[in-house]
Amino acid sequence: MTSGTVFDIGYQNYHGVREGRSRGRLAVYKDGLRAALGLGRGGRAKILPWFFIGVLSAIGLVMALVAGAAERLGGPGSAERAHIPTHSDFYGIASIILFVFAAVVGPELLCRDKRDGVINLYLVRPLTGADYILGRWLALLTVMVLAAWLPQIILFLGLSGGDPLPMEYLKAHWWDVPRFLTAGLVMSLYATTIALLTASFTSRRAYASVFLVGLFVITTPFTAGLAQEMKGSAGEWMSMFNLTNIPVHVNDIIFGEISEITSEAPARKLASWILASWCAAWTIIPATILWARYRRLAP
Amino acid sequence: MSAVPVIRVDAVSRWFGSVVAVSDVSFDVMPGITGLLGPNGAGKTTLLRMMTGLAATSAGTVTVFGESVRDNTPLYKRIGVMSEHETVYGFMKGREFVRMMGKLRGVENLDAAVDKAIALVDLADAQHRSMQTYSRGMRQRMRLAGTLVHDPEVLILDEPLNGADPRQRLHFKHLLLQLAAEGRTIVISSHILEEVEELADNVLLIVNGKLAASGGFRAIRAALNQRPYHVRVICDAPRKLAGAVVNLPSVDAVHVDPDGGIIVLSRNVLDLQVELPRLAQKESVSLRRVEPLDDSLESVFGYLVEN
Amino acid sequence: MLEASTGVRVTATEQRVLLSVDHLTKKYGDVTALDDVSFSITDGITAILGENGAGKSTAIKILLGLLQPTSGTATILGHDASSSVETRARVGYMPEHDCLPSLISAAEFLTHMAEVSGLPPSMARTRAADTLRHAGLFEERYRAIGGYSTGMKQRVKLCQALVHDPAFVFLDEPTAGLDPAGREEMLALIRKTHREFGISVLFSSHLMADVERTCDRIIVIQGGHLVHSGEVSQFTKDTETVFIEVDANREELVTALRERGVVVTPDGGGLTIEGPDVSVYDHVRDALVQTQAPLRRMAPRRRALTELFERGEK
Repeated sequence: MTSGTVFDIGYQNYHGVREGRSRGRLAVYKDGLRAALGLGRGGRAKILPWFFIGVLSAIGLVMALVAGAAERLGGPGSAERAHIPTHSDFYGIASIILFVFAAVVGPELLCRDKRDGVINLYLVRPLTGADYILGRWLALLTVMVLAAWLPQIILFLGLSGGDPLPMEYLKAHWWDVPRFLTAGLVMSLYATTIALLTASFTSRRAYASVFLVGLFVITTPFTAGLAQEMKGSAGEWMSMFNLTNIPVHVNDIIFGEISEITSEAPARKLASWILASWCAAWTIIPATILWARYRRLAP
Repeated sequence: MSAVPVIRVDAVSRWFGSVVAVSDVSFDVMPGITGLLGPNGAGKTTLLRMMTGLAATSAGTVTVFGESVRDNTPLYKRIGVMSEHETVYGFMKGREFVRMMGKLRGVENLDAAVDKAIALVDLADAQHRSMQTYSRGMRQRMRLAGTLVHDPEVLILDEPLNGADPRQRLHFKHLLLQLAAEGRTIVISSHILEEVEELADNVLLIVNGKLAASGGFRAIRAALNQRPYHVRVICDAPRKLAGAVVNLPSVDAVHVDPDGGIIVLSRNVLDLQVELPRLAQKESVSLRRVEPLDDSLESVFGYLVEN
Repeated sequence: MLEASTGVRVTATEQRVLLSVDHLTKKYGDVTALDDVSFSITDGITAILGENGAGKSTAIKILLGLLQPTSGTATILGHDASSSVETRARVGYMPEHDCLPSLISAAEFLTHMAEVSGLPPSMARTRAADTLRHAGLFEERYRAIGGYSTGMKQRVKLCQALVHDPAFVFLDEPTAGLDPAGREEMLALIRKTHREFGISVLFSSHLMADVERTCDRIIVIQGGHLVHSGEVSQFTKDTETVFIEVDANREELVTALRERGVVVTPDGGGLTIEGPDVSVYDHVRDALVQTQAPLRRMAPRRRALTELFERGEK
């Protein structure tokens, strides 16, 4: 008789590696990325995030095509002469879209866990509240940075590829790359932190999203209008409360030129260090509050 | 035996589009405690809502005290309903809630009735606190007081003991028995079969929208005659007794357990009940323990739901 | 210590202390939720019971490290419950209320939870699949949790407590809201968790029947105080009284028994007979034959756990 074996597929204890909190943080980060991009969550969850990324990328592409067309029609340098928007203008143009993107995706990362009760499961694992919010914050930041950089990269490739002398273009304009990467990071830090802080106050995604959209889209024309009305330094300070523009001013500082959108804002007249610190404050203070809220979380 | 049923459900069905929640169910409910049982999704809640007039039937009629229960305001004063999930206004104090329920039913001598209802559920100490400070069990009890405030003759309770701790469960059991002894008709839906077994004289078992069984559960068990009874016997000479018992025509099989007990399978348990002592005596075997393993409500339920 | 070849775990019966609570007190301003409570939990299935309200849930939260005690200590596996976050890698918790995401599949969710508890991704994936299989979830595990029935969701909830192979699990009202079949399945799963997986269980419940059927020990907390702590068998010991139920001829049986000198008392639907003397059984048998009373049940009267609570009632 040939031999036979019965294999044990009963419960086995786990004797493998246990990696501690760093694995937990990484897992929360990975899960946050997937949640933000709608991966593993059905088709419907992918619609909004990828739509926004698509729209932003399309803007970058269109800007590249328009600049290329201008160069072809009017000869080299005509794009600049015609003030066709380029890297320095992109974040001004796309800021609203980026903020709405954060408003839509940010709550996805925090509100669902609260609403479904999953947060209770995290809290009884070797993971602190601070670990959790850090993982989620990094995840949203990663996605925002992706959304902010991709269109600029497309634009850069478009402009350099469309130029009759790509290598010349690169030599002349390579300085744009670190600039837009930095500006994109500033935009992303700002949007990520404010979106998550808002989302941390509610378990309903819709409330958080609507509040954020209201905050950016509705207060903007209001403060801009007020700032125009109030002359002098009062007007400049009022204009500082135009939330959509706060990081765009920093973008202007980085590129050394006022972009299309902020060309009307009285705040542009203020010193660079004021504008930069203001943006830093609007990022660091919300971040601190967010961290404090989650540090001592209990079910 | 009084012939007039308090609640009569006659050929009642309810469908929602293509989903048939309740299918051609008919039964009578008499005074006393009746248990309504069934797996989740079997149609119990739908049936209860039709019995209280909160929902219309798609076919058939429901009458209480001989009158149709739907849109029958005077009749509602005689019925008390406690549904499974109800949001209670947390900001309300317990007493205020019971008062409100009483006012809605047009109770006279409202304060006296409220006092009595709150005393019945033993929450007099907590009645002036707002309900959000109550534990879940206390909220359930205050809701019950709200159901009792108008002194209804008919009580329909859907999972009234959700979240109640053992002490509250005992108290509730005594309360229900007392209310039933006063002549009320109580229908209680519950998943905790051990408790229903202790409380209910009759049960109604709903499976997949149909009435699978009704009556006393022992009688139901006897009616399930394709299922042999399992009776465990412990004695001082198991194999000897087993050898004698297996000869009985009413016995299908005898198992011998490694721990020395024997389990007798029989379709005619009455015969076994009489023959077992006789055979033990004849074989000089001393019986220590005789226990039916599957004539509890739980076993009956299990068998009926399995089909 | 482990015999893997037959698929049945054989664990050493050493009684190691899994968690213990020593003079634990918790006050919220004037309200004392826990007052000088001390107990310890060893291997096995333990039930923690008590009225709704602060006592037992407060104790559990302190043990899980979610609340700080006012005074006293709580230790899990030898470590202080409130200071050590890492010990939570060896503890599982199944909350009472909903806690599952609806858009993700059980497999992905469990893998994620295993990783959060410290398992590397490949191990997490395998453990997730195995745990779900042991709990009886097969093809369903690739579907979104939102579409599961209540019973399936309860099983996923239990799985996430087990996936990282904890030393023990807390279950908070695991059978709440389940129908009888679901309850039976969950209790069977709990027994399996201890007997086959070797994981000790602490669960809180209001249903005495569940506790009697499943637990080895119980702890009762009332009004912030520890009221009972001991083996279930202690409370449900067979007494020396025999309880008999017959379906007919009860009166004749009583007479026949008394003629034989047996002390008989009617008791609800049956009869109670005193005396440990074994000859009593034969008298009963002979009396039954004589009166042809159909014997439904004969067993030593067992105390029920509910009697613990009944003393306050009448």
